[in-house]
Amino acid sequence: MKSSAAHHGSLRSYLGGFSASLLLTLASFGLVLYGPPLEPSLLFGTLALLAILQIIVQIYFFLHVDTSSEQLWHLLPLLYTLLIVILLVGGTLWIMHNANLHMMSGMDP
Amino acid sequence: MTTAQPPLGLANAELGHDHDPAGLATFGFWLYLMTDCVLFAALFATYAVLHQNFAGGPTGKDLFDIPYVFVETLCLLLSSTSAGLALLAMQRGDRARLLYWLGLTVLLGMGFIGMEIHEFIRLVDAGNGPQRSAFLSAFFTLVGTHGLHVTVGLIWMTNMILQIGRRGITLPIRSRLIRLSLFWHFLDLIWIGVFTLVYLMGVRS
Repeated sequence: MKSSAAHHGSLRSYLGGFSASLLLTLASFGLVLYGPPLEPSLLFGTLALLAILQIIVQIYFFLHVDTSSEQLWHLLPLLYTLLIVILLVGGTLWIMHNANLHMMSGMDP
Repeated sequence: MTTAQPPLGLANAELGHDHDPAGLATFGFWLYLMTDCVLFAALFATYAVLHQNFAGGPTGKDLFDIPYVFVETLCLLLSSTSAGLALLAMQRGDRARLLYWLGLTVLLGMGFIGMEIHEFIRLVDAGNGPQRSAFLSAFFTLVGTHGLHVTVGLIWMTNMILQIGRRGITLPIRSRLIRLSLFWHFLDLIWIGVFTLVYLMGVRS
């Protein structure tokens, strides 16, 4: 069964996923421990990008979710959850940022 | 034209049979993992809002030991990989290798959770427990919830090792192992967010 094998991965997919994850982890930690003193926004942006890349790598190589029709019903809930997560985290940060802005404005010297 | 459409269009080979409880259970478990994602999203959002509220207490820069967290991360990544190799051994019906890889996964997972408990004890002993500041409350809640999940995964995995020892690789055990491996990989995925947002960004902000 081809799709069954795809669902549980292969030695190649696990080792590939491990190597890519290890490289991305090393890049993240290396950047913080030994990296040049970057602007915070540039540093955080790079770290976030490395994390997102590693999450995609692990979803593909470890969880074996891809865009094939066999995986459609795993992919769709995942994408929907992603939307909810973005709304939840993004919405929270946006609202609390605005709240802080308005609450703090009276306290500035 | 195929006449026998799988339920809900689940065209997975796992789910493709008219009656396949294992495939449907995997799908159901997948939906549970998605709700767990939302749980963690709420905790991440809480942490992101409160991460600067130190209440005059220590900051992430004072508390976090990045090389230590790197070893933790390595433990979890290696255990996620060995869980995958366990699943491959299961597919081949190789019971000895399956037990070997599951045992290794448990050991690495215990290494991870042991290091985390040690870190928590060190923090609490120094007076930096969850009650110290909103930052630390959010930190302990987020990291602790992840640790709790890992602990549950370890209990589950130990239980599976005992079941395989007693009954061998039966169909229900296969089905459980597939869900367990999804759970374990998922926890490593969440950890990527934790070490990036909490630890790496925490020592630089």
